[in-house]
Amino acid sequence: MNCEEETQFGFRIAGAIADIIHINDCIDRPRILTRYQILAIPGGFSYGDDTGAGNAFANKLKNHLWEKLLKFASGDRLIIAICNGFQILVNTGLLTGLHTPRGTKDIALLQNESSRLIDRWTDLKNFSLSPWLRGINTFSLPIGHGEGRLYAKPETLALMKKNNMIALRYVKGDICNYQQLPVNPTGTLDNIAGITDKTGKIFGLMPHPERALFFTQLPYWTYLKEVYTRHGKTIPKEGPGLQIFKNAVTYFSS
Amino acid sequence: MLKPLQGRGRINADATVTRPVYTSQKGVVLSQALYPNYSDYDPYHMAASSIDTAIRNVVAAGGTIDHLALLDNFCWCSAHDPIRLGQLKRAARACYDVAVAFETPFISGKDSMFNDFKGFDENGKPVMISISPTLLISAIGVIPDVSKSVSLDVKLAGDLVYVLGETHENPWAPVDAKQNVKLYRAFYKLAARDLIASAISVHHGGLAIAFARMSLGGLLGLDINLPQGILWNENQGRIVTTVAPGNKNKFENGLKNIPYACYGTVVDSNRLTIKENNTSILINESLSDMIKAYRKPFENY
Repeated sequence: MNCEEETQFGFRIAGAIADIIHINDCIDRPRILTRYQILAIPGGFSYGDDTGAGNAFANKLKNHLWEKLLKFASGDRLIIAICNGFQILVNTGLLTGLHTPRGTKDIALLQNESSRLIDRWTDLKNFSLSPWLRGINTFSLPIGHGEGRLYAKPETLALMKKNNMIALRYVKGDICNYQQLPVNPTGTLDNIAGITDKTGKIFGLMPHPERALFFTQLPYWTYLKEVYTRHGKTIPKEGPGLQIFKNAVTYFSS
Repeated sequence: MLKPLQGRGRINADATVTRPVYTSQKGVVLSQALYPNYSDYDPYHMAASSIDTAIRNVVAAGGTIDHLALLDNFCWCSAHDPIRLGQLKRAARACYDVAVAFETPFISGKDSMFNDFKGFDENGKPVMISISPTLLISAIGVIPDVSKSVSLDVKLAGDLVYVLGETHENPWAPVDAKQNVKLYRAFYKLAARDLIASAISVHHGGLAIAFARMSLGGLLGLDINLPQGILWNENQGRIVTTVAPGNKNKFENGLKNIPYACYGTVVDSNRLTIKENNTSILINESLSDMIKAYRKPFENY
């Protein structure tokens, strides 16, 4: 897909054993999902975004892995879907998972308002009690996508809010202040950057936590380095995205 | 770790730093340089300048000259024309001389010949318009610790502004690789000791553009006073740096036998001010106007 190596690395430095498995291998090995506790659908350009980002991959999941996937999701398991992964899960209907029959797509991630792929950092606020976001209030992550503008009918949005499914919203923070950037990069509905299902265990987001594992990935780390050094503060090694991976590991190890 | 757009002002950088192996602190520094308009004067000087600038761009980002390679990309004219081939020979000679002097090997490259337009002018007369012979040099180097990378944006008001390396009166001062290598090695050590707050390589547009870019990068003003007539010179071998006032002595002690001068400070204002001999004002611009002009080509995007 593209981002699988960084995503695997994020889980590994958080303390998990993480394997990259091609979807075809998942399909060929029916019991493979039962071996794992966390499923991550990484970012990238599956099928080259042909016929719309995440459409073909979602069809593959629905047509060849659906029962296994539902079984996995029904257990005490965690699923994260990042960027293209989010687009894929939205297309399968697993997010939101609010409407029956299962697999009904009820929201969409549309083309950005600017009709361009936006590549920048964003500021985010956590509104969720999801285990994925434990201990996170506000933080910054990078985005890089062309189709991230969430759309939902008013009834669906109301239902999502009622069930505490809005996880992350774009807000004004350090990045917007540092680089004079607009809060909402894509015109997404209600500034929504990430959502969960009703249980909070399936988490989809457009920003890339795996691209924010290290301090030196922040766009203003050289500035922070000067400020910290001159005030005698230690320069951090970790980036803001690592906490998400740590939270997943903590969920199963505590 | 260092991206193509740097600082608050999101200014185009001359080099990037990437960390391809997650378990290692090492990074790859990548830069490039070209001077098409120098070929009218001398393709030897054009090629030598492209190489020196590409190398210096890596150095200014914190890379080491002792783990650095070059790639050549020749954009040339008709290979049937003896004059064009003669120019190519001069450029190739410079490639040899400068790469050997810096001990930076050429590991690959490519060429594009026959960049000539053959057609007719508005009166129907045959006309040939050729590009200016251009050598695009890419430099790829290793930085042992990405946390020592240096970005071009000025960081904090009060920081001192230095020009490292000598500014020559002669706009065509030849590339002095032996002298420049001393600066590039010294700079690397200073960056590795965290003594450099920001740095930018001086190339197109000379000191004027170097100051403008680093100022816009940090969206902080500069108060600069220069000696007579050096504002726009483009001679090679110079890096503008800013240094925390507390590091002044350690920094200057690291520059033995290397020409340098402190020409001003970073200021908490919205203005870039450059004076000459403390009397005439050469540049007095607001950063807001400058950033608007800088972004104008893409303003509808």
